[in-house]
Amino acid sequence: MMRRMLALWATAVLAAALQWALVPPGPEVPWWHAVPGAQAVIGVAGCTAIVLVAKGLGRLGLARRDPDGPAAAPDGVSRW
Amino acid sequence: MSSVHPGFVYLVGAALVAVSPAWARRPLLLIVPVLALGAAVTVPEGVGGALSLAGYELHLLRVDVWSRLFGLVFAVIGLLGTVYGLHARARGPHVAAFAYAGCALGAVFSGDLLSLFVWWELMAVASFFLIVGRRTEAALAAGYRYLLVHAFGGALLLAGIIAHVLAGGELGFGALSASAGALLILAGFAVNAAVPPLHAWLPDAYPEAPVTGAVFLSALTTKTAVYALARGFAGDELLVWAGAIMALYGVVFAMLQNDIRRLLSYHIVSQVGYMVCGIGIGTPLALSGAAAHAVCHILYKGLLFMGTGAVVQMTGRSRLTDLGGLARRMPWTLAFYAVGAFSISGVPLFNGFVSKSLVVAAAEREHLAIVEWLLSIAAIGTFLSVGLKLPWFTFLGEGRGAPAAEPPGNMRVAMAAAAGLCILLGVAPGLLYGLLPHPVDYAPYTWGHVLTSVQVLAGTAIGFFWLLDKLRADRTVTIDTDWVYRRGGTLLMASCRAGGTAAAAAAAVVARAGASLFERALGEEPPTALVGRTGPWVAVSLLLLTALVVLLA
Repeated sequence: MMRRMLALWATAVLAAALQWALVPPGPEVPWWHAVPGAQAVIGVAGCTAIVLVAKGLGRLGLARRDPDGPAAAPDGVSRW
Repeated sequence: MSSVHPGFVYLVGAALVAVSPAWARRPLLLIVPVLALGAAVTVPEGVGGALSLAGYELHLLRVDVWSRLFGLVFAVIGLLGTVYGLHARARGPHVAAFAYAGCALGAVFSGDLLSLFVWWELMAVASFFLIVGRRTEAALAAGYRYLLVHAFGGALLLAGIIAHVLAGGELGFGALSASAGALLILAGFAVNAAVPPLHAWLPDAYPEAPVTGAVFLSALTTKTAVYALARGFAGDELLVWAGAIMALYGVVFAMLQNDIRRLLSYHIVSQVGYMVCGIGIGTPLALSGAAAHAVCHILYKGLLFMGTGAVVQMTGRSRLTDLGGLARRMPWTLAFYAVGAFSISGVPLFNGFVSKSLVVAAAEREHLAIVEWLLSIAAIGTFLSVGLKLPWFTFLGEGRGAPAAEPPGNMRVAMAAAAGLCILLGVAPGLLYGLLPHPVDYAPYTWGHVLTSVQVLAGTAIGFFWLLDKLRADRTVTIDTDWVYRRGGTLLMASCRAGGTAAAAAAAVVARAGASLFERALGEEPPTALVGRTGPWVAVSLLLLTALVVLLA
């Protein structure tokens, strides 16, 4: 797992470094495209936010125990 | 025009497959989609297939750049889906799939709203038979719910067409101006496009279909609606926000799913959101982006359903909690699935990278920063669940003893062809651009765009491995907006049992009202047979709508 994480960090850092070296920031480019590494941070933050929101919705009651497979009605109400 | 309608090729093929002896079926299954593809390629531009009905001119075949594009990609996925299902011995799903493909082609080649409506409804009926193809109790229940929702959507569409014509609008299918009729038509299209909160039929029904039928389902209904929205409502600002919300809604709900095909179904909602958003933006780049994304989505989503279908077929399991460690026994399936996953995730050199970039760039050029952010976060969620979570817990995680082997050769051939097309359109976007409705002045392969995309993908993967324990699927099912009509349906049935006579009387009154409206719209000599067929549908749908309104109130 550690090696996999290191490889991913290295990829992100390399891409950010290449962006810094090869891509001059244009006048109309928003900061999230212009700052090298910002997109990697957005990736981590976006991923975390989606997982937390989904888990939160599940805990709020949108996810129910699967009684006998995913085909069953979520609330066990009906099968009509 | 003297050319053959591609939809009729499929419909004739469906009839032939229905009556053919077993020895002739496999050749027929190959010949029909090839002929339909040939017809879609060669049918000349223009308007044809004219019919006259109650003084109105109907056109069954209108070929232009939009209908050609959708017709072409429908015919391609029809061929791939048929090859994928070639091993299946049951006759019914093949007939339903051909009829469904024929009706979808009929809808996109329709030149007027009434023809569109007729194909629209026939498509719903044909796809119902595809959904219930496994004949399980769950599939039947999901199929009936699907049919009711689509009857409701069809009723909205028909009511909208009637109101539109009564207000002096043209029956020809083009851009629709703001009016009550247009709003109802938009709502009818939104049902088929699975725009929340009208989307729950999709993740409810598609996972219950046979694995071969799901390939057709993933491609046709929602994309027919995308085509119709592009035709009628390009530039409608409401669609910008509806699409952006769809994109995010789908990925959040996909994260909660345990069933692999239900997870992918929620990603249809999300990906169609990109298309709806592009249509709403309405600039030439956005419309071409929406069309390009529809083409690419049909290919990669078909491939993803083929890959997961192979897993379901070979293991008999569909839940992430029951799967794992299949990579060693299904390496080709994993490889093909990975191509589809990279495509939907927008990895450079795969087709989704090109088409998704067009829509996001169109939002950026129109200074729609919030929309751009929503679409970008949805892209992160797509890679997270389709590109990382699903393959990790199905193919790469710890094994759970599921029996597995590579699927039959025809399934692998279809997956290989779909994967090849995903890569081809990814490395040579010019091929895709040449088919689009507007010239494209956007280059996806710039250093800046590729490097920022790689950073987002790497960041998402870092987040995935960091949160791996939290991402393990739970043995749960999700409550979505279908709860309203599941609960409402139960109450409605109970009330019908209690006061069956009253309900029947109300249905008759509503049916008569619907028929009367239809007659007024079409003139003094109405086609009563048509009214007779549509009236009960209108009645059932309106009753359902009334019940929902009462329940919500």
